Amino acid sequence: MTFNTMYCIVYDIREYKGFGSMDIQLKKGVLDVCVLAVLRRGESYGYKILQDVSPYMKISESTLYPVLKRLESNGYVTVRSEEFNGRLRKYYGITRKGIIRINEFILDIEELDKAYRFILGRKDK
Amino acid sequence: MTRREWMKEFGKYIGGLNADERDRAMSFYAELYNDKYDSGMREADIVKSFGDPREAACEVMRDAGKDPGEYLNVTHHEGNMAKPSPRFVADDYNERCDYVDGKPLKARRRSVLLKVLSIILCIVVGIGIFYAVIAIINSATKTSHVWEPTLDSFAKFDLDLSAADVVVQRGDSWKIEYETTAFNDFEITERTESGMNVLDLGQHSMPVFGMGGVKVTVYVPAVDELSVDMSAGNMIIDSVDADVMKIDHSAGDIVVKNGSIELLDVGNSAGGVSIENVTTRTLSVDLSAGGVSLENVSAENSTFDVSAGGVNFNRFEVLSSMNVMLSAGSISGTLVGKEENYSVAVNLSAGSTNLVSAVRNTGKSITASLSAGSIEITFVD
Repeated sequence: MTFNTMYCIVYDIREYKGFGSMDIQLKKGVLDVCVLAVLRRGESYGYKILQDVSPYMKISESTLYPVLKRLESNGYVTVRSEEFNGRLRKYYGITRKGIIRINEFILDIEELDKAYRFILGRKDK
Repeated sequence: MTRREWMKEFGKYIGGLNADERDRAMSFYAELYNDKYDSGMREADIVKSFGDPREAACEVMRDAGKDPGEYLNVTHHEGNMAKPSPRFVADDYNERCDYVDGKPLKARRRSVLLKVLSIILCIVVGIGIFYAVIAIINSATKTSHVWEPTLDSFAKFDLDLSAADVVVQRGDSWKIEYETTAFNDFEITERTESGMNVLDLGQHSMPVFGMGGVKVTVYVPAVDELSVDMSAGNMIIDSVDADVMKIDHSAGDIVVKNGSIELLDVGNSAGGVSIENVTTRTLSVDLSAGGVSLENVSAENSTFDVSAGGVNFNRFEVLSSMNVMLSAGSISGTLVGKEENYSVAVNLSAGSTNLVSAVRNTGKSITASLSAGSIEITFVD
């Protein structure tokens, strides 16, 4: 790993507000699942997804684009184009695999939550 | 920034992606723009919400598996985030992240340089091929000819040539051996002018195409006047005696050797003039650029007018007077005789000289005028 790349990662993580110095992979994972969670309610499109996610997590246009691309290439979402107001709009829909991904994530977080409480010195309820 | 400007910038920075990926990214932002616009946002606000097109492009580029270092290109740093050190900004911004027309700036500079170099290479190779083709045609069409006159003798011989390698030498009878090519031909005429037989040798040579290195050899038993007007090529005049020999050349070397010539007048624009084993009464050399070399030559009166170059003597005998005018260069070598037998005048603006001006009533004189350079003359027996 070059010094430049290392610098990039540090720079990248610090740049991400709302997560402090959270691991970049974790950050990506959370964002992915947030978008999937939005789609679980039904098909949606770029602008709507942004609006639905933004109250819970800082997300920008430039971060949404790679998230959607990644979800599609992993088979978590499907994409179709439909005409709207005389133009094409892309609609994203969650797949079965996407729903499984959400559930996996919830289990992971529950595990993390245990560790989190342990770290804080609290006993399980 | 307008929508058009933003999209144009963004498109420019992601130009390095393949067409599919580029279209996909562009339509993603186009769709977002339309949706925001339909929801009542103004153009300026939408564009502002998109942020720096370079940052957006960097995100896309990185997602497409480009070097993460590109991310350093992001120019706006919000909050209390640490800014990259100047070293990093300079190095990485310039070398890795500054995308112009979809290519990193450094790569683009390289490609511009490569383009310029390849154009120069194409021109050089093109010229080379052109001349090679001409040379092949010339050598393929080269034929040798021998011309013999109907008249017995000529008092005057005129050579008017554009490009050839010429040898004029003593022979038992008049004869011209010459070569022609597809682009080169000679015209030989003999005429009588006010009771005097004149031989003309002219050349029809197509410019550029005529460069074929054609050879001409002229055999001269005896002639009163030899006049040469030549543009390019080397010329050797060997063992030809004449009352008057006038050579006017543009580019190439001239060698005059072994002869007795009353008046020898040599002019050359670029190239060397070499005179060997020649006895003359009046010698005049006028040269723009090049060297003059004299070996075992004697002249009653001689003048050398040289703009740039050197004048070198090897046993040159000045029977009466010599005048050397040189703008820049050196005058050197050996003169036959004793310095005290000459009245010497040296005009040197800058440089060194071992000739010292001195007035002596001997009837013989040496004058040397030099703007810049050196004079080093030795007198020998």
